[in-house]
Amino acid sequence: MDLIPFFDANCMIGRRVAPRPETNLTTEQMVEEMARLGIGRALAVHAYAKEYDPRTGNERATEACLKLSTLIPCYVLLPEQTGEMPGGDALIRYLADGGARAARLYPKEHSYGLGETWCGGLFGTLEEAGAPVLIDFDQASWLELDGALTAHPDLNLIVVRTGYRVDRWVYPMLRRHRGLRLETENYVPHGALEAVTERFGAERLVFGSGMPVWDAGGAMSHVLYADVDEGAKRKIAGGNLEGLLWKPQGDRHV
Amino acid sequence: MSEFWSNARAGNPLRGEVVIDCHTHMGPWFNFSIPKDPWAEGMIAAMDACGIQKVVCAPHVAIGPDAPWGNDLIAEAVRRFPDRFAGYCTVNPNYPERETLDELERHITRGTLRGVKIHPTVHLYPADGLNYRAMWAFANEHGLPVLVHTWESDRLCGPLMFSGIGKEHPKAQILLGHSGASAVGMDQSIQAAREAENVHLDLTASYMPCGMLEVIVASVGADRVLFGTDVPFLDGRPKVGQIASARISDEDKRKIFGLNAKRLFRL
Repeated sequence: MDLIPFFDANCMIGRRVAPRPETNLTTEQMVEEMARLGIGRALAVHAYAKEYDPRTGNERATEACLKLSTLIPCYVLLPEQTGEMPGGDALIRYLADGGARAARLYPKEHSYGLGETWCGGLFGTLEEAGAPVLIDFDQASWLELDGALTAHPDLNLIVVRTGYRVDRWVYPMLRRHRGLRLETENYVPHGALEAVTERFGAERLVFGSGMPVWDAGGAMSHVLYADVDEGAKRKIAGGNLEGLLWKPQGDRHV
Repeated sequence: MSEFWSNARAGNPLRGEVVIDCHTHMGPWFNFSIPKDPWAEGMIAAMDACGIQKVVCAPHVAIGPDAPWGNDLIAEAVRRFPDRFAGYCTVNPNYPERETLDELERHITRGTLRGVKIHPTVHLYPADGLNYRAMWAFANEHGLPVLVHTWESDRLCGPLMFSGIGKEHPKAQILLGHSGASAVGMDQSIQAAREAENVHLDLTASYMPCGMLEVIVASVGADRVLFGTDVPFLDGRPKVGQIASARISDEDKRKIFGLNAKRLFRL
């Protein structure tokens, strides 16, 4: 049988503020590591977009991804009220022009809230366009995420790098919010992938590695050894992310 | 490609290798849900999925409120599944020294358990405190492995504490559980292992910084590094891939996956 293809929802490229030496990979080295392990493609956030300036980082992400076909830009966004980032149709044009197929938010690092006051317009735009948004678990509370998904039931929201103490929080939310997905790296309660697949469906799980900060081989074996059928593994490893990627609608947004 | 990674990448359990998990628990835990069977049968199913032959186990209740009950639970699991389970005798320093000595006598001198487990963080007591004195002396006298929960710079169980303890008890084999957990904690664990030759690094953790295993092996050698998962506190399967995919030799992977544990626990 063919090896299961992997599509990584969670990679970072570019120079970071404080990398450890062993994690300080160039984009080319990271792509080489992906090839060694068998990760075919990855959504890439540029470190500048998190640690310096989102617009500058997003431009760098687009430039890097144009050179490396295995990487797809994931743009870091902000609420539009301060004028640092476009909103509405202009935001959609901004994503399309840069080749971005998903968005990522760092509300804690970037100092804003996820409630309607701050993100109502942004979430509404992404919800209407069908663009997925990734948010790290350490950037928001479950209460904030619950509020966002209640206000925007069609938003596809992927919570990244959760942990092993989360199921009492997350199961009621998976039941209530059809748009909620969990990235699998570090979502490691004993038998978690099987339990979510049985209760809520494999569609709710999206593979990510956290490279180059975190080890990717372990994130992969977590999925490869899961006691779910081959089809479910393929969905988790990449099929679900493929289906969630934003697809610009013809001339309207380009 | 590494034989280990070739197998793991295909989703095949590791076969024909000695794979011994030096750090597991058993049963429920209070502050989060464990979705799949956390008892012996459920653990064996998870072990079989990736090719773990045997685990060394300290049940959750042993590191929690009732060490004697937990020690009985693992002794019973060893009796039922001698090819799949080995056990730690857990001691709780908040109870009289007599209990510690009785448990060690009952389960190690006269019983089947192979090492000692201490958890300074849950027991809120420092690993170098007086109430552990009898345990360290016993472990030293019998040349036992002692698995200690460790965490970066922690006042109760920071890795650097164990170079001194190791030198003071040179026959005890100290396994730094989680290797200090963070990348900095792993740096500290490397330093402790360089300073005391009976200090070993247990890789158990829910994550592994990219490239860190390569740093550890280059720093202390593969003979001092052990595979551990924390099952069922955590899912053990990511750890298999972390080691299998590392940029180290298959010979080193063999030592880490099981040969070191086989030697230390005399399995």
